[in-house]
Amino acid sequence: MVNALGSPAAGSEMAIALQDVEFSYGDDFCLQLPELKIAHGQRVALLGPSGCGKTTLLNLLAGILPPKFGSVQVLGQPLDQMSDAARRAFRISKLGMVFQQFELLEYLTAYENILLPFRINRALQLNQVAEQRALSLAVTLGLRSKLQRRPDRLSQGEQQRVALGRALVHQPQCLLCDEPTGNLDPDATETALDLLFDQARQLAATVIVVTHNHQILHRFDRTIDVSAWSQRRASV
Amino acid sequence: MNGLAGIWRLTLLRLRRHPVQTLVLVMCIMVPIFLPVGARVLIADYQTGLTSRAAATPMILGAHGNRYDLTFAALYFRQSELDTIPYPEARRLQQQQGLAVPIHARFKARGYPIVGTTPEYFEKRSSRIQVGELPLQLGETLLGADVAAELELTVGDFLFSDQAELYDIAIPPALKMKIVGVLAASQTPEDDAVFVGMETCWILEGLAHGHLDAESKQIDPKLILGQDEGNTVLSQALIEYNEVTPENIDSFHYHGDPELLPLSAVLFWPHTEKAGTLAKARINQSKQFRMLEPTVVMNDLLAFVLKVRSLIDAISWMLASITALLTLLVFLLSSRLRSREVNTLERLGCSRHFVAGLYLSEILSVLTMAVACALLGVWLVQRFLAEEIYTWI
Repeated sequence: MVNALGSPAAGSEMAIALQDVEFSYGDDFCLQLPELKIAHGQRVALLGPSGCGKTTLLNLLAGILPPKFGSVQVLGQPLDQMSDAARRAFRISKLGMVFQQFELLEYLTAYENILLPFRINRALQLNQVAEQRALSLAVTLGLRSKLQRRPDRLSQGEQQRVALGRALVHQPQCLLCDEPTGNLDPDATETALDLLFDQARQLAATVIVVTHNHQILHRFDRTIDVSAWSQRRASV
Repeated sequence: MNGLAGIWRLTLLRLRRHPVQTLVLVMCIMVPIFLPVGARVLIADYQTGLTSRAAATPMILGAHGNRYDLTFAALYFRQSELDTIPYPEARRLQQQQGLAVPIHARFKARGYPIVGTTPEYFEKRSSRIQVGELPLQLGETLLGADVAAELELTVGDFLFSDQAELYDIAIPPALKMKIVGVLAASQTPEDDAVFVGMETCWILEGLAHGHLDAESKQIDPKLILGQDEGNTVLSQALIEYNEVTPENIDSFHYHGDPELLPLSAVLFWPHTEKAGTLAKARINQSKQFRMLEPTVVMNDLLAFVLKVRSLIDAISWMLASITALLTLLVFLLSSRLRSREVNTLERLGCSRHFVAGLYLSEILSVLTMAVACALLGVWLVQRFLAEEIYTWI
């Protein structure tokens, strides 16, 4: 069941299509999702209380978790039929990921963190064009003077922008963000969303954001309440 | 290639970010590599040095006692408590179809051994004179290369022998020796020795000296203890010359029998194997002195050194095993600490191979650095501390 505040554009090719997907963590938790379709370029917020399966759904979309049953198609790729290695290769090439705790590598500078996808992916060629793009992205994100700083010398907002740069530097077609503004104050949240949506628009990328913050829902094309698909057995 | 470059780049940046942790780990691994390798290299050098020098000297004549002391006194000018042998033994040996070279190494100059010998010694050792000439005159000296460099002395300068006894006026004063030559460096004990002619040793021993003519009017009459026909007995308080000069060289004279000059040892190069065997048999049969073959002595000594090496090897193996376990523990703990980083990389889409490569490259980097440091340490010790260690051994 989809609690859709907005609906996908009729007739457009789907960026994401899930059909009869089921995933469970042992006997405690089960996510059953009959159908989910998200069009290219849509901005979608995943809502729901803690533990309802928002992050699990995001991980299914990223190919981090394989479904127990059903089909997961992202950007035309059937993730449920792909090997772990193929899913990883797909993820790093086509998707951009932003995490709640930003998860920057503490031993890398802001610039090196932004360039990380090029370091860890053989398919991406780290050349002058890529470096130029990383620099211009850093300037856009307001990080020009902070590029040589390591994460421990950056504010939360700056770390968040570095994480955003890392997710965007390889020009992904889909951005998956797990509570990217969870640690930010309202002003910083607005700025981060501005940057995220602006960059996504330039890339024509689909954006899926897990959030608890109802005050930002108006900025999305569509909101999905994941709790409707999840079942959790109460522990004794 | 891109993947490998990424792995090495991340590894380098991570190690640079944690220099203390990296350094401690490198040092921990370095020690068990450095110890056995260093011991082996030093012992191999020591072994080569000992055996080659011993092999270049077929036989040594000396007093009974510790054969190692005699060998080291004769080959390395090490001072020993051994008895001396009289000078005529060298001549007697010379008559045994071979070359006998006396060694007198009982005094020092500025801490370096003064070695009294004959010119043949330098021929047999293939010593090359860097500057100057051999010490053929009384009171002349030829310096080893290291002595000249350390004391910053050269031809024309003077070097005093060390005063054996400061408060005994009967003991000869420190002799002011004129430097007439410097040997070229040879990385042998010759580099650290001060060579003089045999006659100069007589002065050092107090068997010969020079002073004002007893018949001259310049001597304080109080120092003349007695006088009869042709003989004048002088007090030992009479100041002797402490330097041999062209003006006073004729005043130097022997007291007693010059043949009594004590020698530390005599090196013997027999013309034939048979001559050597005969000489050895004659000397050893007399039981008055002993004749030994330095190669035999050194091989016995090396057998002990090799046992020490085996002990060091065993300790190093134990150390290496403990270090390996501790290093494994450190890497396991490090991998747990890095689990969040690895989780992030995997969520971003990093391959398993890449993650494994990160761990492997870190281990390889640390190992490489440890091996490099160990080899550098061995080289430094071999280059700068080997002599001190050999002396200590």
